[in-house]
Amino acid sequence: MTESFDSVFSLGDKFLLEISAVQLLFADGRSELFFGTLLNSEKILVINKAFRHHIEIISKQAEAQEKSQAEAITLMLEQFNNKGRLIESLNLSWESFIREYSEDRYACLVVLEHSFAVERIRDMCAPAAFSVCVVTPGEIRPYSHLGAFLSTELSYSVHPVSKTTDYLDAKLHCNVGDKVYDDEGQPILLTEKISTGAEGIVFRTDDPKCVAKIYHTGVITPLRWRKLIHMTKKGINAIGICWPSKLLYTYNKLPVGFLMQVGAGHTLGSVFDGPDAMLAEYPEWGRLDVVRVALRVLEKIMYLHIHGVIIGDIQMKNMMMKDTEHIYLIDMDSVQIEDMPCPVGTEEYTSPELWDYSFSDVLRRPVHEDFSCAILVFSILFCGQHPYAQRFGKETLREEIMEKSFPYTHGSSEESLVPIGGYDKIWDALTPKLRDLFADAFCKGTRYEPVEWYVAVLEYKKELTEKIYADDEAYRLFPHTDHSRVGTLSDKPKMYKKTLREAMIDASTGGAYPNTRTNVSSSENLMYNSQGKPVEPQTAANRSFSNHAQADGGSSATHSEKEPFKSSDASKPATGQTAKSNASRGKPQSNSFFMSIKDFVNQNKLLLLLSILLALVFTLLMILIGMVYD
Amino acid sequence: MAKKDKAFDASDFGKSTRRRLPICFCLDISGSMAGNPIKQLNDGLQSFFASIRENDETRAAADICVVTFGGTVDIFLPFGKLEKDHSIPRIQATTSLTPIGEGILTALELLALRKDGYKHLGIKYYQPWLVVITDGAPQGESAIENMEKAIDATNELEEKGRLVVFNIGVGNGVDLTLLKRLSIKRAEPICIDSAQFSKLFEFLGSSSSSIVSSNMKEDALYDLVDSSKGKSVAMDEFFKYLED
Repeated sequence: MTESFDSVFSLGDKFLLEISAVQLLFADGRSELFFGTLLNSEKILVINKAFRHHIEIISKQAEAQEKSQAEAITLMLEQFNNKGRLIESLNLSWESFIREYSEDRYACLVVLEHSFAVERIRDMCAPAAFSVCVVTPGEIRPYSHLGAFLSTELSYSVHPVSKTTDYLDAKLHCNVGDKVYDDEGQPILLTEKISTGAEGIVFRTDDPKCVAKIYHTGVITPLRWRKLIHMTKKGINAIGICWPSKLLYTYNKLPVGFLMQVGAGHTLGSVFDGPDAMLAEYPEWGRLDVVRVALRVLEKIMYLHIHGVIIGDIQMKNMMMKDTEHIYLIDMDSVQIEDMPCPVGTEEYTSPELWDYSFSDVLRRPVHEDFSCAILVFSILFCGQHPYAQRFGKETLREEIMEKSFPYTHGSSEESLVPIGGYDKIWDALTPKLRDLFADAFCKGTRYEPVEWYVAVLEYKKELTEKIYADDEAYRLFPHTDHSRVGTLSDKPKMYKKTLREAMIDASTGGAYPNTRTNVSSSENLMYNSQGKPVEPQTAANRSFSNHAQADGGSSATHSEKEPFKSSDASKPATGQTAKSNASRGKPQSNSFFMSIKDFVNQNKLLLLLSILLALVFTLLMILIGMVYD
Repeated sequence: MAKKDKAFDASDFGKSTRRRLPICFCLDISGSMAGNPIKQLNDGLQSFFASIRENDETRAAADICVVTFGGTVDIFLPFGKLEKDHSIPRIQATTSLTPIGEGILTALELLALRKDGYKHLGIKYYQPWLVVITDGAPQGESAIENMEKAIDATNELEEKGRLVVFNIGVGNGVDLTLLKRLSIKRAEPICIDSAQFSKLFEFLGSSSSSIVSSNMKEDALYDLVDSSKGKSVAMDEFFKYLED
């Protein structure tokens, strides 16, 4: 062991540290010798700005043992610092840190094999003069230069087990009251069904801190089980990360599922779903709260990245929230670890380079994860909105993402492309730094590392906490937008319409009075009459396909538009299809009285205002007269 | 383009940020459907709505409209999000003819209008589904001609990948040649017995949830047999895979 250490120390004068390598040295007891020798042999340590954040994140998430390691690392850095032999680079991202030292022949990079740090360097494809010292569980391997290291130690390639679609023959159905067993044969009682998903059922167990996911028949593939074996061995034990802790079997050792930490609350997908969903559930929330959620989520993602885990299927559906401080990453059994890919993903969150692959055939890389993180941070800050969702857009979201058509930077001279609902105001309320990052990420395709988002959101949080904005609106969940009133987004807020159909029918009758709505469901104003019976035309523009066919003697004029999906005039079909609506989605009728008053008030606002004014003037006059007579 | 058009009432679309899946059912309620078939159609539809509502993802994403044809073409259920407590009335069969072409053209226009609405408001969407269920052949004045127009319009959209078509025939009285032409991507129309309605709607429900939550490709909706599935293996063989 000491031999290999000696060869390491001759590699350079400055040692660039990467967090997971340092962690491993501290975890298996090699740290004292390693850093002790460095300290005594006058070497210098160099860390980037992210290193401190990483330490902090570990202390925040991890259980006691890892936490004390983090403290020990901080102490070690302190020792070097006291002797003036610690350099803290101002570069935040790993990539910029590597570039900073790429020409330094006296630098030596200390990295963990297969870590994010290594894979990021590989993807940079840039030459470097520094030497490398690779930390692995058993040994430390020195390389005189980066090129030698990268060509000798390759990244993982997909394990062949991922290719098979065979699955375990298990025709069993676990239910409440059944017992399953862990590796040591300890029984676990399934006490209550929590949820049923596409892959399996999640049960509460007799241990209130743990839940069991039991797979459906046909779901346990060799990839899935091999991954679970490796995951439980890896043993990630952190608050809010629902990592598989134990494998579960039937009494006769047939694999059925796994045990994990219990999550709580709602999925972020259902919380961050536009103003109605958020204001109903969290009326007291402001910008600061969504910022907190974004930070907590990023911390968990970064924690997993430090541990070499690529989450893969990052999306709000796979996260749960009890409150802004309690976030849970769920569905962890799909993550990519080592040579086993994450076989699932969504178009909205997946880096476009991967779209044409089957997810089980590729190993994702840190840059792919960066893309998903950027989308996620945006969506959290924008209350569920996707960065590429836009008005008057392309036919598919795919095209928008491919063309990097980001609506928020299009200036405000023309009609904004930003989705209706006050999202442009959220954009305006962000810090300039965040706006720059988003613009670069979504217009130019720059991939920022999660720590860069983290620091930018931290700055935003600081400004919100210190209340540096004069404008009170900047602290609101939806700044300068009132979502509490019905129909605020509409150009015709007076009409309390529930459905487009009803709007169309009203438009055709030319009336906007509330009682037309109740008429809709009962009126028999049918339009299509293929038997040639007279129809009841509501307006001159009234059309029906069969009608026209008759009038034109069966010519092709009935439906001649080449592209029916491009009906440019929205009011045309509105008058053309006055069909009856049997199912009214409108509010119950008991509301219609209240509505009619509301509508009346709305429509006669001017009149009411005038009369109030008149009354005021009259009283004033009376008072004046009274004064004069006095 | 309807850029300056202000006809869309945002409240009708909801303020959810989810990507919507517009589905328009185009259902045959002509005389031949009376009795048991319409009952089974209703049961199937009800359980479909129930399954959509049960799932958080599909409830918020599925945007459903039902058009019926039988004598006249009616909008039985307009587009809009399904609330948890919203009940859908049962469809009654009529005693009249089958204006299937008009029904489809109406459905296409409604889908087009809905898409215009999404675009106007900046709502993400999946390509719409047109689900046509019939047990007969076009009947009535200009019915064949309208059917041809419906086929042209549907094919054009489907070819551009802007529409997913489910052409479903029930029983023995279906004009399969005409129904088949409704889709250029589906090798054969989906043929079922009226007793299989529940199975059909179950399939439609699970397909919509695959699109919304599992990122299934739209083209997979045309491939009814799941060929990707491997074989079931016993435990011994299974563990052989795991030996490194």
